Amino acid sequence: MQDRDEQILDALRLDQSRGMALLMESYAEPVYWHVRRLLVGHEDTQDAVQETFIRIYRAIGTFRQESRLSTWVYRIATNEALRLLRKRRDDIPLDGSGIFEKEADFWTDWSDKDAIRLQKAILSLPRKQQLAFNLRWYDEMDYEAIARICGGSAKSAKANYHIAKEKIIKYIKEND
Amino acid sequence: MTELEQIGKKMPYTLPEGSLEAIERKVLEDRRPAARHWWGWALAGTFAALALVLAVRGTFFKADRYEDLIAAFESLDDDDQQFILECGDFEDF
Repeated sequence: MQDRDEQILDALRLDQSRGMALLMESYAEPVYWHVRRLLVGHEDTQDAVQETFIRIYRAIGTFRQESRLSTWVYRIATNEALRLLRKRRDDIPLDGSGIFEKEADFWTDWSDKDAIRLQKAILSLPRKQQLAFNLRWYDEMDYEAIARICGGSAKSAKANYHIAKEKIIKYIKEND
Repeated sequence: MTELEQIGKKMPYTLPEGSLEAIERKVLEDRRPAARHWWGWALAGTFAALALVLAVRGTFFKADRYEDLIAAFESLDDDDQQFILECGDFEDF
């Protein structure tokens, strides 16, 4: 991924449109799934991902390579998803199962009960634990990267991940 | 093996075909510069000529970078200002 990021950054320096196309080729799908796990519904996710890349396009000139391109992209996507969640906060129940039931749409596979149980378990967690778990479990990021995306230290990211995992295992057992 | 490990990375979501391509298209269209009308070129030409005259007089390009930065920031809309503030450091959410 590091080599790919270098290619993207080189392309961005030479031709911003071409560089942006390469960046989206690499990141649109993983970012989509990252945001979808937080927002549940496809349409909200699509809007958030689109807004994420528009913001990236506007700000790409300010990227100073102090962090990895991937963590920068994920951080912007996470902020965008959280912004939408803050907007939504007033009209949804706080319980994770409720969020899933309310936001799941036509593009939800209701036949996969285990996968639904796992998403409900994740959505029932506090936001930092949710993010740490998703970024580690699905995106296989190291704790340093998770800390850069979510704020805090690598140690707290690690603690959040392990607490989240234990809670999820318990939730799955209890809701069998 | 825990039940979590058995479920693995499965998700109960599907991605409608063509969605990512639609996102890419919209993002690139959003940032494509709009075609400039004749009066746009005229205005740009006038501005360039004026800038040249003022530059020669040494009054246009001040070396005050901080002031320029503040002015540039203030010229952004609220959304972009908020975005830069959010990404300037690592906020705790």
